[in-house]
Amino acid sequence: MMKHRYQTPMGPLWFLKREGYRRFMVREMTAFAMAAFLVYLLYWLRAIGDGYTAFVQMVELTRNPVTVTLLALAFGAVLYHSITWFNLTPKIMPMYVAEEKIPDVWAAIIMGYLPCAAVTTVILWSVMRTG
Amino acid sequence: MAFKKSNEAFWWSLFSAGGVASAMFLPALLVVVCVVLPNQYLDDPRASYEHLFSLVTWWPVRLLLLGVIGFSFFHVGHRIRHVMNDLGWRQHTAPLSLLCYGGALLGAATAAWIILTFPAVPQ
Repeated sequence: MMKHRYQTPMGPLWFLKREGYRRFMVREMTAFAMAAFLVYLLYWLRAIGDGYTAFVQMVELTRNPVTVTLLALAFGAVLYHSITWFNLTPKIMPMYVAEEKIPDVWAAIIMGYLPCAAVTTVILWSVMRTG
Repeated sequence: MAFKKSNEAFWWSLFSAGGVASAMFLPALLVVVCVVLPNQYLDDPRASYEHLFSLVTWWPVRLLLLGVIGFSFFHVGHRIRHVMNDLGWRQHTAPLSLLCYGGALLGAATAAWIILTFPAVPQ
């Protein structure tokens, strides 16, 4: 960024002006919720390493209504990020078959939603499998 | 007009890798910690813990978790840096970058430390 360049004056709430700006800001703000969730995941991993007592404490913390509320918000943020990311991918990396461009919806399903569904299935199956 | 040299491409590559990793994996991880673990725990707490321990300490899973969490930290760091810029922090580029990428590095390093130093057997 060059010094002394003219910058258009903008108030801190400039993004409220238009629908597109507002959705942009919601998407960007999901990063804060995701950062918090990543730190919470680190606490989980630490507890798993520390032992059974720490694991039980972490389960109790997760069952706390305050934590449940925060995690519900984080879930909304994470889903919003995934959906916007998958829908964006074909715009950055269009897919072609021969010389024909695949519609963005299909490209998003092939590059985003399907792999995500597969990954989710494998993870849930691995965690729920017993014995 | 001369352009100032920029490291944006490097940070963007980490942002992009983290964007893919978090979009693919974080919904599932959230369901696991919020829904699966608390319910599985009710059935048999000790067995639930030991199963989770053996899963998480399996080396392919460790490396995957490290990759997902590490890149995701850089993803959110980059995004927060840009959104704070957009909200009017343009005059504080250096401290903001230091805070965001430094924080991401700290998060990734902490993840590495936790994941690489798991005990050999469940405690």
